[in-house]
Amino acid sequence: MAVAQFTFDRIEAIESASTPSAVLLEIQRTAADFGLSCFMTGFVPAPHKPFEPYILLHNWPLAWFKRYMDNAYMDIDPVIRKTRNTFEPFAWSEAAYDRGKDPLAHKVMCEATEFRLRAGYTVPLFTRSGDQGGMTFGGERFEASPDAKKALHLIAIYGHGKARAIAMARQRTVAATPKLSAREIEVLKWCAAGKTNSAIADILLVSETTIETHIARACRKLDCMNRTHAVAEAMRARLIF
Amino acid sequence: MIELISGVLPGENPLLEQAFRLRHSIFVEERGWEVLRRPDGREIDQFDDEDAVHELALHDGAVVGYHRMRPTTRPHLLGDVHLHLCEREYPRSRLVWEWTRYCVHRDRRGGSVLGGIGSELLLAAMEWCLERGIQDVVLEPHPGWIAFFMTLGFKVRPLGLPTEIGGEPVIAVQMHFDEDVLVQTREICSGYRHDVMDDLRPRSVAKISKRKAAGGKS
Repeated sequence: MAVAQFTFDRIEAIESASTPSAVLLEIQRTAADFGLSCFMTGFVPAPHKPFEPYILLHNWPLAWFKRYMDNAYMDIDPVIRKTRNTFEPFAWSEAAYDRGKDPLAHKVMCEATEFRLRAGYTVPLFTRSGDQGGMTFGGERFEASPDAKKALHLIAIYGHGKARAIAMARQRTVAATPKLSAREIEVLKWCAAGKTNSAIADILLVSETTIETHIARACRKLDCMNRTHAVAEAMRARLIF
Repeated sequence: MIELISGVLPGENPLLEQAFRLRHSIFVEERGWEVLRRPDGREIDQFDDEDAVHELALHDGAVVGYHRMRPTTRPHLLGDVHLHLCEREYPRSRLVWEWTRYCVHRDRRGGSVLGGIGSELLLAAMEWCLERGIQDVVLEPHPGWIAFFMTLGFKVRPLGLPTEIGGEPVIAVQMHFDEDVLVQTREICSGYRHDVMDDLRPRSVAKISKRKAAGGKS
């Protein structure tokens, strides 16, 4: 009962988080409660495809992350292999491989221990598009109690879901952001700095009418009423800082 | 095509009899829920009474998909038999219904069927509920469904932790949805290639990879 309530509370915290780092902290906190120091979540690409764009969120040891990506270890990692082939969560120790026949798989698992990743738990996840995703938790030891497994299973579902939702919302924002010309951005930056149109004209060595045209065009692209509105909108869309 | 049958008892409706046989072929023969096995090949339980709303997907006159809905204010599977799956207050209300026995005929899963029988059943259930002001349902699916429903826009609240019934992983959940979720589900499901149920069946992985391998050779 206590584990259930604890898990529900953590899920609520994940759900109400609004930034990737807030989600990361919540997942990290829960993993730590079960003795696991780090986690990674994302999608599993087809074999021999680059892995990195598929990662949504992680706090993996950076040196290991880099070595793993640089050497395309996802293609030989027995944990990834098992993630592709099962629907049920599993402890890393269950991702069996034959040391003799599969020395590469053994190599990855051994190298991971240099970064204090000796044990872990992986939750494969599937989404509506049939994308294969998952979350994996790692650490020095994993005492795979039924409670820990259940809690981590749910945290993985909700943590991955939230990380994915945030990533998708960002993608939409980027796609929906109108394109301003370099000159329009420059003019809006001077507007944001409090300059009048004639002052900006003097700075950029053009006529005031040209400045007015740039602002009018930026307003049209951003669907704004006036220069103040356009400055605010451009800042929100991170076109100017 | 979706057909709704309610207010009847087993034996009273020929289409419903077909649905019971479909349920038997999937839940007993395919998924191995031996407790439900019956010599007459009809899977029927105590919840197939007049309170049940049976949703049937028909194709060429044959029942190819099925789904059952029951009000939580009447006896039902999760609230009365599997209540041990729940570890927080159980939402028993006239406006909360239970969804059970969702299934699609083996030959009609996934693949080329535009929209898919599974999507049709899901959309019909959502429409039926929303028309009656019902925005919450309880069910006990494989935990993998949570991610699926969340991507459709459902607010999925776990009522317990993942556990197992007869060796199959399940979790009790309450799901909230509204018109916007219906619109989004429709949009997503009309172009839906994988059948909802297939996404969670290990054997379909083998099927898909075989198909891919075949495609690679040709």
